[in-house]
Amino acid sequence: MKPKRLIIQAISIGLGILAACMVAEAVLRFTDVNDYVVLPVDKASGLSIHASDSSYEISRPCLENTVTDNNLGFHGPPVSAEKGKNVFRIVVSGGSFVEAEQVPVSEMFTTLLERKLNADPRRASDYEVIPLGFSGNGTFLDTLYFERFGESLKPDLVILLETEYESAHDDPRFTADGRVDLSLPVPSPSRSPSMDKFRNIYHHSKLIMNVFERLYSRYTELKQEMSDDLARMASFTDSASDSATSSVSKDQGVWDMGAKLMDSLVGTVSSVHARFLLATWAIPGTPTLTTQELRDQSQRSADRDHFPYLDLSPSIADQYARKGASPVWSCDNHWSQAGHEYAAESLYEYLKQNPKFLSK
Amino acid sequence: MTFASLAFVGFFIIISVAYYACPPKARWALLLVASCYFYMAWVPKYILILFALILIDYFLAFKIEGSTGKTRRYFLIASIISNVGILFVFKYFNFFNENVSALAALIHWNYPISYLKLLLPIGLSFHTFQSLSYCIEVYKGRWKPERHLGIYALYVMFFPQLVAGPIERPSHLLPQLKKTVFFDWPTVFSGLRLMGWGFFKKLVIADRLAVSVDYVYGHVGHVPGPSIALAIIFFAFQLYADFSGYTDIARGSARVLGIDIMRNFDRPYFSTSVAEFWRRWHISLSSWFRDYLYYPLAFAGKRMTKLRLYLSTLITFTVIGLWHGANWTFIIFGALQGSFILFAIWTENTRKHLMETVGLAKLKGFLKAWQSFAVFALFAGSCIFFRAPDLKTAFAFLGNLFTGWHISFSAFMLQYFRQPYDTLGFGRGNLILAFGGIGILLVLEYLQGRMPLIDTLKRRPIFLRAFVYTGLILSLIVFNAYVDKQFIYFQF
Repeated sequence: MKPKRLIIQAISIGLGILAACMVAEAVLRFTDVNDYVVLPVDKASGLSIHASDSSYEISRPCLENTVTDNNLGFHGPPVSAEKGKNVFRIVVSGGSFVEAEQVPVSEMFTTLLERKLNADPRRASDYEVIPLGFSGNGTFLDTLYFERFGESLKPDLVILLETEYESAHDDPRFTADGRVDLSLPVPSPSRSPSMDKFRNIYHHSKLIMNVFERLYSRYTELKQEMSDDLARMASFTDSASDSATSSVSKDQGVWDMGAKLMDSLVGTVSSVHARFLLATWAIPGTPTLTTQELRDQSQRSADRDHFPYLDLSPSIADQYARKGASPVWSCDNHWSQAGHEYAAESLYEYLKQNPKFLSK
Repeated sequence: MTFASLAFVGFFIIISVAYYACPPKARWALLLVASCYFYMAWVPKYILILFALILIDYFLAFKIEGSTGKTRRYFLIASIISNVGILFVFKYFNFFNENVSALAALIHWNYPISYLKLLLPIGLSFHTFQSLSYCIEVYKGRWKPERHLGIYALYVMFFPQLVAGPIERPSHLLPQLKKTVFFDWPTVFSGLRLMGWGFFKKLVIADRLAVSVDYVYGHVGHVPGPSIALAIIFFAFQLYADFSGYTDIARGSARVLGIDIMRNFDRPYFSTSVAEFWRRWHISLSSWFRDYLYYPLAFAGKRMTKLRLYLSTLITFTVIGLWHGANWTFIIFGALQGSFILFAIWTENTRKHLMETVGLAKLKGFLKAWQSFAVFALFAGSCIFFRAPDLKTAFAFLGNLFTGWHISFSAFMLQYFRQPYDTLGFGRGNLILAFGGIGILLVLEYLQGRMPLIDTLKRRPIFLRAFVYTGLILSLIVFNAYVDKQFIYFQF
């Protein structure tokens, strides 16, 4: 083939690809309401955080929501820096379940819990329930976020909400002597303004963001799927019932690390003289053994460090059985409106039965 | 491992590369091992059932060939009993038991047999029927038993069509498993293209429609009639995109390996009668039942009466319904298909006369479109019984279809276009993509009926081909519904 013809063919292919990309971008602009925001980095801590008092859209096949971030950059109602005299502050720390991007602020379990607590006319204090949730956080990052944003709020009670995800995806740093390194990672000076500019540009392309996000999530799923298939075949168990019987279990090392991180967070909370409550919820579809381990390990941590532990799963399952509305979305493993209601009710009942948590 | 997963893509790439790298004589072994791995990714222990069936049919085929008269028949019956017996135990026993026990309760009989806690082996209805067709063909003398056990096992287990068909016949598949395949890029590319189209139908169209269909079926009693009507239409397209998508992936992956698997769908929603629809829908199953059930029922014996033909039609379609699942809903679905065909036969002259009277017969294009619409409406309506988990839900669904139609245009636009979450279970973006997907499917199938699209595309400028293939790949990545829905026919 002549070089000229080859060049023309290459240009034609390139133009064809470009045209397809432009059409896809146009269709996505019309159908994808997600805002792919560039998360600014908090200069004081190096932690990623949403811009304060901002909002963005999220969309899944079965839900759409406008996420309104408060003055601290968290999904939730505005928080006043000063704590009122007769105010009892509950800070709820955690990952995506606390952030609750899937529901409006008025339907978050933290908002519902606050409403329930304040509904009692004989209450001793006015209650504020402040969510400090950031998607993807594990216990380590929860600790860092609490140090940066939670301590100054002078909480009276800190509730940490964890699922099986947190311990599996934690990526902590340790000091040379094996303790958790809580020194906050300051933003890298190497991040140049031109790089930021570039990030801002590609974050405006829905096509690039969709391709990147979806390929990345599929890649992580593939790794998990392959290892699950091989593990199942090796153990000759049943895939259809793996959610009930799979022997998939976390390495003890992961749980040990989780325990260290929990100790560290409990220590941080104690240093501000707040009470601490650990609540867990097992995401549906999590292999039962891991769910059991989450419960056992959480109980063990609670016993060792003398803090109370509440497993939300039985109460939520019970409410689900009675009321019939699924606690999770059909297309997303996070809590639906009903799930938030169930979680708020479970926490409220627990706090009502244990009034010591609600006294200063 | 499901077809619509990256695990399958990884698995398939490895197998395809190994297949062409491996000496031709050993390829059957590679495909057999790959098929075992593929099957065992679901319920590993159930492979023992599959092995047992393979061995039984393998040996019985020789017995059938080596015997005559009644003995020959007995061996065929033994094969039928072992295949259908396994199918009955795993798929129909609890249904049978439930009905007998309900009947026993009516006559105050203490029925002692309890339920079996068994999971349905994946693809059981498909591979038992494929095994059965082998033994029947040997019995009829149309096929010699396969001497190579490995090749026969591969005939039953060939992974692209193991779990949801198409249900192959020995005369079509067995010779291909023995021939030497050379790497041929145009064939491989056409296989990949077919797989890509299959993935598009499954991931972009079917899975997206499933979100809304699942929502509406899950909220029967809470959603108004227009939602139900849309869900009925959506499910008809979901079912087609899901199953034909699966078939395209199966056929495409087999084609990459140089093996041709039969077509299972031939643009069924353009059929102009229900009978034609069933010649173009799930062809491997309907032709199986035509050859091995309908013909023996209708044409065996000395006298062929109209009543016998009608009954054979009704029985065949009722059994086709039952084949799909052990539930009265499927039986009604099948019986409805048979009834539609009988109704069409009985009213043929009247309809012809009516069309001539009103002048419709002259407007051929319009008439065809009207007939296709009517066939679609009948099928989509009967699919309520296919999709509903039980009769109660199906009838509640039908009852609610006629409620909530008194709605203003602005309210309709708000509830069904701008914010359709409460009525359809998904957002505006997904609604647009759902209708867009259905539109693309219909337009391409319509054009396919007028010209061979792939051949036409091959002759188009490279710019257009690059545009189409990039568009397909991008669609699979960014317009994929990402809801991890299993293929509907995997449950059968």
